Amino acid sequence: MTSSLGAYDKLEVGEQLGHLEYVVTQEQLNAFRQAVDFPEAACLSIAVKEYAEVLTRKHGRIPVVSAKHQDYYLRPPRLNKRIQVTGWVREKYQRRGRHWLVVETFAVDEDGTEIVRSRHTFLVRAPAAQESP
Amino acid sequence: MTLQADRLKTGDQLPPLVKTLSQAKIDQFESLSRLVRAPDGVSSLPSNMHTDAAQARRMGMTRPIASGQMSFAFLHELLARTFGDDFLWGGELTVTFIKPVGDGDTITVHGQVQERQDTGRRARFLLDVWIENSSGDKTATGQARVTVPSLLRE
Repeated sequence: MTSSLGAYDKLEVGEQLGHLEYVVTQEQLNAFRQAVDFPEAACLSIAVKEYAEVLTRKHGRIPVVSAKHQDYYLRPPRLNKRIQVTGWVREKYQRRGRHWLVVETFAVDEDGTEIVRSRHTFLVRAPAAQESP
Repeated sequence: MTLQADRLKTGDQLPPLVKTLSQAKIDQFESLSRLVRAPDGVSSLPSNMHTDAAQARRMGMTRPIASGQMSFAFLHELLARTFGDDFLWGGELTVTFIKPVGDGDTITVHGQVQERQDTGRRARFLLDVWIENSSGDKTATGQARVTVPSLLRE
């Protein structure tokens, strides 16, 4: 088993991460709306944490904390359509003794319609912890 | 839903949202990432720093904290309530997470128009957005861009 920074060290800028697919159902949308107390919430991807899932699917759990997130919305996801998410490592760097990781994703539905582009910055934590967001 | 968006001008503040967090809501939010992955549609609660006190301590936190994405969702709501579909079609939101929030915290979600550019029949807005806790400390800050009406809906 690699240490947390060992897993981080293995990451290469530009590498493609794991692939995620899911279907947005009314049940999931209702659960999201209830969790955030917003009956008209439409963008389930915010709770799915696609950026973390594509990372975990390829490299397992890396202890990270979310530092920054950016979404660019192209259209709201449609119910009962399969969403496919692709992600890659955009940047990794050290600043003030801390390790940072930037993952980008884009999500399209089964018709090829682009839904959202995201960019997420992680702070990588010390090896003692074994958790992802 | 864009009831007042086209009337907004530089310096205007959006009507703030107030949210009180509970561990039950945090758990519910965390379960969603499992629900979409489960092939049988059965949700489960992940054990992580958002749901488990021991895991939180291992990450240097004094208690479970809400995911930054929950704060992101609240800022998203502020913009969706103001700009409606124009935000969902072509809007952009960038948020930096500054301080953790958790069970029992009441937070207020703010937005202010920093710039408005009118081009033809469209207005392009740049907004500062942020969240404050009950002590007045900022827990998240960011910016949003929205074009009204959206360029992507035509």
